[in-house]
Amino acid sequence: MYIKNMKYFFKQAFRSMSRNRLLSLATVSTVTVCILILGMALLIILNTSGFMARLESDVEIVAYLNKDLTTSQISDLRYQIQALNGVQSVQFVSRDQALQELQKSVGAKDYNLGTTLDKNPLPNSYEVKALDPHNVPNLAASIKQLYGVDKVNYGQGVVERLFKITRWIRTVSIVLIILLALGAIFLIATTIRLAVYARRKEVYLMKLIGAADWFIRWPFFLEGILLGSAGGLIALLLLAAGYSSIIGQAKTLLFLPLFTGTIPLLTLYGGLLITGALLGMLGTLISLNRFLDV
Amino acid sequence: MCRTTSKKWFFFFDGDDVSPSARDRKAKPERQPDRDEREVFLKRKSEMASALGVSGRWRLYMLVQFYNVSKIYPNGVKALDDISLKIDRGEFIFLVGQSGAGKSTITKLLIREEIPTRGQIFIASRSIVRMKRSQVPKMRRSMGMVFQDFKLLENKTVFENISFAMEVIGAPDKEIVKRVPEVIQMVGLKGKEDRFPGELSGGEQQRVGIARALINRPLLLIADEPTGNLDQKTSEGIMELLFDINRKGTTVVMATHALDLVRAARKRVLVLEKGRLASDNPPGEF
Repeated sequence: MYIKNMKYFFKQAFRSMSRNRLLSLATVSTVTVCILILGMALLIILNTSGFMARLESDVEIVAYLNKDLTTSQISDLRYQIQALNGVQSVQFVSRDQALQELQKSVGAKDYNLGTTLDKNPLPNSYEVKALDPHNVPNLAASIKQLYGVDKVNYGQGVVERLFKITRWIRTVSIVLIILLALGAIFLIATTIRLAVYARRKEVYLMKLIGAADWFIRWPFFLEGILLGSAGGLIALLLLAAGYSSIIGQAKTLLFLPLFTGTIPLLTLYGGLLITGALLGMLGTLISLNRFLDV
Repeated sequence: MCRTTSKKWFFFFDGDDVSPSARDRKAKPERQPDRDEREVFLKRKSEMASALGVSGRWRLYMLVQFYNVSKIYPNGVKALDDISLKIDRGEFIFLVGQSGAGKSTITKLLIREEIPTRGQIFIASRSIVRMKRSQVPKMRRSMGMVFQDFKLLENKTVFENISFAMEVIGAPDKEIVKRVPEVIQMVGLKGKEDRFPGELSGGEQQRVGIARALINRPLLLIADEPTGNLDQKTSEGIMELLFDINRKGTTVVMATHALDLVRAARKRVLVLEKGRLASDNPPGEF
């Protein structure tokens, strides 16, 4: 019985699609465009947020130590820092290492800092990474309270501004995605409403004959899902082709670190396909209920 | 059987409210429906009783009851004003009146396309006003609807138009293949199964409409101006078909303003005027 119904639903759905070819085409292309835009927006957002996350994770605290601390005091301080909330890692940088780093960043090989400066002027330091980069200012403040810490440096001012910008970009992108999805649902609902409108006499008759609501709904649902996923499939094929060529280009240019990896990309594409089907279903649901109210 | 049932009915309802159809039957006994149809009818009736959740056969004899029904549409039009009426099973009823008198509203209330603003409607002793939305499809399966404009699906053949009504309530294929030719034969459309509605005359199209209404063996056939778009001679043919269906046990309610057809039929006639029941004429007295 149930299988027979499913057969009937599929038959009806396919028949309706082939009968209203133009409308079906309109629905599919609507979904395609919506999903394509949505997918591009998502990729841009993922890449920028990946970029931002990298920027953020580069933020670290350098705690310069007093020069007259004993070795045991220094190692003591390490435990104290580690005991603080939200600390990811603590790295000790000795005065000699710091000088070497400085030498490296100055760059000139024939110019030796060690001989120019008769004594190393740099202090010992701890490089501290926070679990959450946004926590850095607070963490820096509490490290500064510790005994033996001379000075704390984390790019004050710049970091706060960076975080403000990234937060703003994230909010804007979430709003953008929601707006795009709503627009897609609305467009699909309108297209499917036309398809249902073309068959309103049939729906009305079915209601009067005594067909159950779900029985009337199913063929339209299937139609919506099929058209939605067809649109989603086309969109993601276009998107995948476009993006992989961009990745190829980026590799030769070595320009920006792009969002890659097979599994996350596949998840993204699968998600887009499901979104297409869901959009089709939702659009049908919205446009169908009005006609079922007989 | 008819006599005993009416007696039972009298026992439960007021005796002075004599059903005109009962009188009619006493005066002029109608032809007995053939055995096969009758068994089918009884089977349908018990199915309907279980679908409606009523027990006891007697409850089904009074098929339709309207109690002080008023209908005011959302746009303020008062379509029906305090209508009370009863329809016995097996009756043939004409609803007459001018356009806007409320004929169509009564048919819409019967199939619960509309809900009354005030009053109660019982179909087989069950209120369809208080009925849950999920129960409505089941109730409608015991009714058939015939329209003035036929409402056939242009892209389906005659056969498909009729089988459509079985398909959408989920009937098994085996039954559909068996039942559809029977009904086609009954309405006199044999040999035209594969035609499309556009290739048929108006009268033939209405026959398809009637076949579609009959396919699920309804207890109540509601026809809203079934001859409105047809000429005199074709209309008479359709009326003959409806009488025939009625004779086999189906209750028929027909809204019309073809008064000559109504007079010739000698059936019970309800006259509506501006939403009120102006008169309820027993058979032969209109």
